[in-house]
Amino acid sequence: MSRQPGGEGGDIHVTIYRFDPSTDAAPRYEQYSAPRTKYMRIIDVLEYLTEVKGIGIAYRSSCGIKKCGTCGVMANGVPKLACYEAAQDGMTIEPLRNFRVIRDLVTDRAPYQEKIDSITPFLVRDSQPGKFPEDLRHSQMIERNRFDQCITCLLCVAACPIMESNPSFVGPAAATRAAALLEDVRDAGAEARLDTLADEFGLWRCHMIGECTEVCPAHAEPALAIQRLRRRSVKRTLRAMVRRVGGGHRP
Amino acid sequence: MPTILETDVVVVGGGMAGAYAAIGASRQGSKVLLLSKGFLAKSGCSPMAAFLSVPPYYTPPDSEQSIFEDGVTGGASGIAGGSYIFLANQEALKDTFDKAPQILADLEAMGVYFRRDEEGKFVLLGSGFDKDGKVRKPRFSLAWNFGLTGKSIMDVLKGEIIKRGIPYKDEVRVTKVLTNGGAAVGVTAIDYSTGEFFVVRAKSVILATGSGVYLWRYTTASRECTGDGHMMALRAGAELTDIEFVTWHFADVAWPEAWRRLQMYPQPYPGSGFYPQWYDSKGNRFIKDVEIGSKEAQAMAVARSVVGGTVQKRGGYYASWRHVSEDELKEWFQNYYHLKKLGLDISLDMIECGMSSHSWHGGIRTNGKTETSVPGLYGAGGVAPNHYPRLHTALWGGKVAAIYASERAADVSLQDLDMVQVEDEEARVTGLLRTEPANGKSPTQVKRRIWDLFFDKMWYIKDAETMKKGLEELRSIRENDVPMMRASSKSRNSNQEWVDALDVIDMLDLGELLIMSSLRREESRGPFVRGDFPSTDDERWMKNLVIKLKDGKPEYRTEPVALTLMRPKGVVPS
Repeated sequence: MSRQPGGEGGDIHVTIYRFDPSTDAAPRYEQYSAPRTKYMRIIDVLEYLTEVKGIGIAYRSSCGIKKCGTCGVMANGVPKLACYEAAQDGMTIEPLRNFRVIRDLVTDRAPYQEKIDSITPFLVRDSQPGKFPEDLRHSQMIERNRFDQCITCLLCVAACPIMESNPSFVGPAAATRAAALLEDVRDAGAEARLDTLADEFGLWRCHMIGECTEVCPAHAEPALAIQRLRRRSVKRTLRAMVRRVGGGHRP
Repeated sequence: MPTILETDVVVVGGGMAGAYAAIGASRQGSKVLLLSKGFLAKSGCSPMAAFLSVPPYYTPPDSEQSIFEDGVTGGASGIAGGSYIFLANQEALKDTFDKAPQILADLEAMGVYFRRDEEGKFVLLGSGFDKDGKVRKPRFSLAWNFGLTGKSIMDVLKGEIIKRGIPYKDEVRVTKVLTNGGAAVGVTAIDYSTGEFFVVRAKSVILATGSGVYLWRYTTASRECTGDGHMMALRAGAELTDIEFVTWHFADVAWPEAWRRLQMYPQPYPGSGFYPQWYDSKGNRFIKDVEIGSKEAQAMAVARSVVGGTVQKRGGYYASWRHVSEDELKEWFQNYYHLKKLGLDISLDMIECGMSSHSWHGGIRTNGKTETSVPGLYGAGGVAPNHYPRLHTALWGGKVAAIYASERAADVSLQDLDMVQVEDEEARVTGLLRTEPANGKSPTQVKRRIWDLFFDKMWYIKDAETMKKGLEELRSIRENDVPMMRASSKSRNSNQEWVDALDVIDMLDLGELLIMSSLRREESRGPFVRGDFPSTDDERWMKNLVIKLKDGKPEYRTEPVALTLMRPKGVVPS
């Protein structure tokens, strides 16, 4: 038979960041407790506090199962999805770093969405496929699929030390979306995308510390995405140089 | 005076139907505005969808006809334990299948990747097993992994919306469909991240708000699906139909509670065709392979065991993967990573599961053009599923609504708003942003009471006695709890208690209609199961149960079903 889940019984205590910029002079930290349930996640604690206790903590959540990517928080200082991460006694829960706080755990995603919009976040085709299904084999799509696992939860953005010091940096989530499209054998949008990504706030700002991949709950490997994009960008630059240098000597 | 935005077509809903409707209407040349209760492509049920049907890429002996028949009957024909439904608008359903190939080709052109094998053929997924133990009806496709299909498609649709420059607003709770002279002329809404009440003036309004399945605490529906669109349509003069039909899931994770929407898909997976085995609390295997092909048969098997005391509604039975290799799970089962995260070793551990409400067969009554009885008002997707609540119904609804809503937008001019309606609605909405009485309840607490009431009294199998108790409790919530609802703060910054208060009003109204409809339908049919009326009664009830408001009060009537393309065996044409 199944092993019994452990850790039931007793209360779990958490400290939650509370701040409403329209009414509060400064953020504060409040302590709460909730009865522990099997395999309890952070979101279970938040649901208990709001739904059972009626405490008006603002947080986001839609699906609860790591598909929508909207419930990111800092748990003990590390970006986590509230639906995915186990609740621990003594945990401190705060809004995602590197985002403006709208209220409590709710942050403003809109400025980062603009960065995603800037990388041409759709498949660019030279010509429309002549038939359906078009000719594709699964092995051609594996690299694209790796990056397509990204659920744009933006935990990587919260973890990124460069985003913190330089908010203009394009950041790991937009890079991951770009990599999913660039690795797609059907895509012809490399030029426009690499133009954006190679600018002064683009790929080369990244110090390859790898915090983004560390915190990614979707196995989408943002750091690898940035590496791939850099390689493409270098190749593209080299090709352009070769064309310029070798311009007069073409046989 | 609230801000008034103007557009040709306003789309309410950021899931698959809404996104595809917005794209379609934009292609037709309409000016479009999309309003999403959560984030576009990151809310509603679509991002959670596991797979998608791809007719006509079925496998023989399936045929176009057999797929259509499965749609009409609810897939229960010839499968143990299920009874047929037969209440769909057959012509519209036929069109849903007929248009599927062009819709899928369109999705692929936009960038969706439907999973192939190394020969370039679609990897198809079966729905269950036949009596000989063969995988039944492999016809479902993945884009591109089991559990990532919906998310992956939504990313592409969102990309297309960005590409086309279609304006959209996230975190907007639409509160009312405005009418003038009996036609829809716009909507009122709050942007709840800033708390601004605003108005959209439009020639056509497409409601794509999804199902109302988040009436139940244990559900696969996302947080947004509280029936907003159903009630807005009804109050604007449109009709609802067959809302008593709710499909139940048995294979969703019991713990952690947060994961109550996580499915341990019971059907045979692509690849090696593996699937979980099911054990009750006594350690005995239950749910036969032949029952796997029908949601009704699965739910009934669990319900029987609940009555027998070997499992509970929310737990006491288990999915086991001990016969499957970890590599296979990793390759084909996106939710594998969740199990790993719990620290479980799936080669040893079993996963406790529970039942949850899943999808709605009924909703806004529309015709084959997604038109409601209100000119200018359209219903697409889970809010108007025509007894076929699937992803490709959402896509079909989006496509068709876009065409007719745009046609209307080209024909009519922007109508005047009835400013009394706008003022009344603003007063109602802002009236719910209150912090009195001090000893009151949070709207979120009231919401939880409704969820619990529905799971307790309106479970998969219900009878008149429990439903009447449910109705009493619901009315008591409306009379006692609603006047006591108050938010913790009057702040307009992301005040989710305010949104919950709006939801509570709609959930109570829709919930009451659902209980009343369920009491009226004195039979069992497809996913609608009554313990006190266990048989299907075609004579009295092969009919749509239609609801319309007259002077604010619901009126019920039945409408015969037009059996134009298919009739049950033994039923004489009328």
